[in-house]
Amino acid sequence: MTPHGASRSRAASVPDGDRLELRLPARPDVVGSARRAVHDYLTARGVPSAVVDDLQLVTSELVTNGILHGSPGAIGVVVGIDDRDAIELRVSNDGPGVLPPVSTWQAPEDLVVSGRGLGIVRQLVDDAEVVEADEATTVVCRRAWRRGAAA
Amino acid sequence: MTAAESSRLETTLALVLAGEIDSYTAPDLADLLAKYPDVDVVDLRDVSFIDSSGLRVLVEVHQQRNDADRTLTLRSPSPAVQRLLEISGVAKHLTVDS
Repeated sequence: MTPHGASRSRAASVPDGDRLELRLPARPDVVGSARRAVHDYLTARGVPSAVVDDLQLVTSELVTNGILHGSPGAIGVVVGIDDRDAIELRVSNDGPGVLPPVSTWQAPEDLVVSGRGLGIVRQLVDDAEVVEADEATTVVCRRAWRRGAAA
Repeated sequence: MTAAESSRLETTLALVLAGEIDSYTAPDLADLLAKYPDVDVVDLRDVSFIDSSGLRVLVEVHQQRNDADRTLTLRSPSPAVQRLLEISGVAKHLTVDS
């Protein structure tokens, strides 16, 4: 978690030209494509495989969530590495949000079968928030990663 | 081993999975496990990716087997499976044979 507003806004500057931006039809068969694109983008920038694997899992959960709960339409995936070496991943879907506030995303302690994905996301990122704007719902996640440090 | 012991033959039916289990492929896994209700072991060593959609199927089948007084064993989970079992908090509820 990054509780300090100042460091968060500073950390949010991802160079525009180095972002990966995908717009995919909201169909289950695109989930794998989204994961592979995020994998290739992060791997090409030297992100350790353990962190890449976690971000692939986050991508899979959020894209799936968007497909299941968003309006029919498109899923947007944007990933970048900011000037503080944090990975920022944004997954958006068309339509009004159906996501609960991030503070209520729990990793289930028992064998509750549904609603597990968002709790998993929360375990894998340092910071997540849900933004509803422009008739779309976007989950913005950040995962710190220092260049050269062990994963 | 005595003859009396060896005369009782026990078999275990294992389903060996490979590849990626996500919301696109999880329905196929659910169909397979429904089609082969005698499967006691799911071998996960070659599963390169799994998310909550795949985990949900395994948990549901685990519960069905439990209700029938049987056990579904998750055998040799790959690193991807291991990671999801840990962070989801369900590993302690399932039968995992590493």
